[in-house]
Amino acid sequence: MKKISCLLLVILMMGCLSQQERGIQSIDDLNGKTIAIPGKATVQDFLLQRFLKDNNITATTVIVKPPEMIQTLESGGIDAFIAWEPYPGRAVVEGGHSLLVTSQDIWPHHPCCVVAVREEFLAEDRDVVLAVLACHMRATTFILENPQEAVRIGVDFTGMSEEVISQAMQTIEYVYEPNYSGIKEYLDQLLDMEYVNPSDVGEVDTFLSKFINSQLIEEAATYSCSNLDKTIRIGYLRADLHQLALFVALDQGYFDEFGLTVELYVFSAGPEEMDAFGSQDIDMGYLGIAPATTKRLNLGIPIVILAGVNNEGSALVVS
Amino acid sequence: MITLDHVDKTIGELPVLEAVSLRVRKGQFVCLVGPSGCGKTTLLKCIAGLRTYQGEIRIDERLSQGVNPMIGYVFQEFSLFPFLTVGGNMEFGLKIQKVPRKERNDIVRSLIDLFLLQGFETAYPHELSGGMQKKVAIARALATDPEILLMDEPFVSLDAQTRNMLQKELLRIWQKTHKTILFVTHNVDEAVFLADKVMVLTRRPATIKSEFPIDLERERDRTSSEFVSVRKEILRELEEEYVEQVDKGYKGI
Amino acid sequence: MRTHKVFIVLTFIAAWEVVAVLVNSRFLPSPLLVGATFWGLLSSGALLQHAAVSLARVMAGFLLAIAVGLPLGVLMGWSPKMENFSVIIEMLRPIPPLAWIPLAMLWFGIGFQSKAFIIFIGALFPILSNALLGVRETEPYLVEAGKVLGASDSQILQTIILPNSFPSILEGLRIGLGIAWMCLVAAELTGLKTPLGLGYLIMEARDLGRADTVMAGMIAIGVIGYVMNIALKWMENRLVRWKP
Repeated sequence: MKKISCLLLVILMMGCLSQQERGIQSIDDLNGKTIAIPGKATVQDFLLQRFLKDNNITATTVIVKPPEMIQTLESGGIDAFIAWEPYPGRAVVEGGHSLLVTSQDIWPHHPCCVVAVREEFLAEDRDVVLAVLACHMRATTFILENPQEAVRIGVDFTGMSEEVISQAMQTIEYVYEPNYSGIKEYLDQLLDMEYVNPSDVGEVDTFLSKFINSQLIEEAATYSCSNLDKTIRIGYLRADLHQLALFVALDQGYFDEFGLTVELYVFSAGPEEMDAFGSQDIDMGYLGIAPATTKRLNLGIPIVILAGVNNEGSALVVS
Repeated sequence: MITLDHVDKTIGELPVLEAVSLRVRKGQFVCLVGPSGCGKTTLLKCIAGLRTYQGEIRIDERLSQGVNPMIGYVFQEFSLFPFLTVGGNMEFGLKIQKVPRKERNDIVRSLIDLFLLQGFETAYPHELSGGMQKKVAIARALATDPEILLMDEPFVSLDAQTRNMLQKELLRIWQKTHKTILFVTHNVDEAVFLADKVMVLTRRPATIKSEFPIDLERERDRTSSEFVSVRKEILRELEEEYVEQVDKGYKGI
Repeated sequence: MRTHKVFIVLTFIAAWEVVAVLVNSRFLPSPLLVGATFWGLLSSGALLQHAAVSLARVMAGFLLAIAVGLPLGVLMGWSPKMENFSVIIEMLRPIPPLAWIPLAMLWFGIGFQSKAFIIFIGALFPILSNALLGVRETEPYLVEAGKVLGASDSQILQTIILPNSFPSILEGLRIGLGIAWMCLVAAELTGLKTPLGLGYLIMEARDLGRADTVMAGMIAIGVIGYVMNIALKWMENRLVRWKP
């Protein structure tokens, strides 16, 4: 028994030693470090891989849920993390941590979150989809035109302080056009990373022309209807400031104007939300383009990308 | 020699033993009979030092306190240690007394011979018949060579044939080892067959009601007229207790 | 008997294949595909690496649970005073080990220790309560038999109560190990410092939408759990030959 307890003690001590913090000042300091991502095949995973490759760095990636990232960074469990806003903003404002690079540095104007719909739902309830897109466009415009009011809604949505949200919103570009060439670049790299199989993709442009529908957003711009009297199930990611448009639309009552009742479903990361698409538990969703593409291909979950949500808006945080 | 002088015992509020006085001479075989649940087991456990009591219990004139190495005990239950072999059970008390291995082995071997258990030294209790288990339990109690053997209805859960066989075995061993035996039973036939003296206990709270010296020659014939008449006499004594119990509205026997 | 079992397994796989072909969805990969994925992971050494890391986490938590649970259970079964503490145990026990994950991550971070802690919690209660029950349910006449043979309290504990409770204790270990193994996988599904472990393999495959890898990981977990159970049963039969 004594031997066993000694052994355990040694194991625990080794665990403690390996957790000692070492500061990171430059990009090169990341070599050999542990960096947290919100999930495999998330936009942040994708951006980090690209960043590590561009800078010729090897690091261990681990998966931590964004709400737990700052705490894990502070406890020394990880050396850095990459996450969507407002987590980087919060780490800066509340934790005094710093942004080593923003996703703008990694890939300027990279697409990030998108609005997706289940193929079947689009076929059945095209009107509802158009209405949601119209709300999305209006809300995005609202954010661009009323940044201060948008911050207030962001505070309500994320439960974080005004200071954090203002800081975070500076790094996010709110958009609604689907970014075809950007998504193509994602797909190329996903193939490169062997996250998806070429045999599933087939000819890239043929696939993308089915996967992305840019027509609907144009149609939605002029769509009007007041009496849909329908319920729509929309998925989103927990406290993801990229998806602020959804909450602006709710806050401003845009959905009501179309006679839409919205049921919200919250997820920790994009891959989870994709599973909900697969099980037909949600009809539309705000999520990252990387998990949407990966699971569309690997599991054959039938979704279509209809609109952009934001560009940029992620950052790599070190303590 | 066992001497009890006004031994009282209460469990909670319930008086179990009341002024029990008795004497068992060295080498004597005494049976205690009494109605079920009268406190026979409690009396035996008091003597063994497993229970507290008021009054005096002397072993060989010395006041007995706590467990006494001069006393061996055979339980009503099948009380062999299930995780030890026959040999392991027999040598348990010897190990506690730190008897060297060689000596232990000798004692176990002689007990095996005495109880005719050859070939079962390494068997586990569950592999033995009920009668054999009882034999091993008696052997275990005898291993440390106590002067006194307290036996609490040891044959109660056995079939009649095995029971008769073990009674004869017990007498054979008693005659060989000259132990002082105090044997509790509610079976009058068994008591008359075994004992030099039968003591009848009253219903609870138990006290000694009467004593019957049994002067019949051994080995006793259960069908002889003397045997039967002593048995009848004791049974009558015992029945009085049952009758009163029923009168008083007690439930059960 | 053995051929019978093999037949059942083969039938199960065949039925799976049929269903997979009928459903024809990536949500339910066929056994052939899963087998190929399993073989690929095995031959690349990745599976062994994941399994080894998982096993190390389980063993650390399990041994710690033994070190704490056994003495505590024996003590609580043995001493009436200590038994009063079982109120606390009875209140902690119904909490699923996985409910400790958020706290474990707060207290121990995402490293080895938090996984070991979850496993410790999971394995602790069956080990503790089986030890407690084994000791408490030792027949009083066995204890008295020891007493009249001159054994002291500590001798009674060592030479009677402990060996007599051994089957119950072993059963507790077996249940504890099973629960430890289940907890591990769930614990690995959340944050990890080292991106290894069978649970991690499954989580990663989930994020990537690879149902075949998810199933290969599940099979690995099932096989290891099965083997561990058999090993412990075998040990039990060897060590407790005195049980009828």
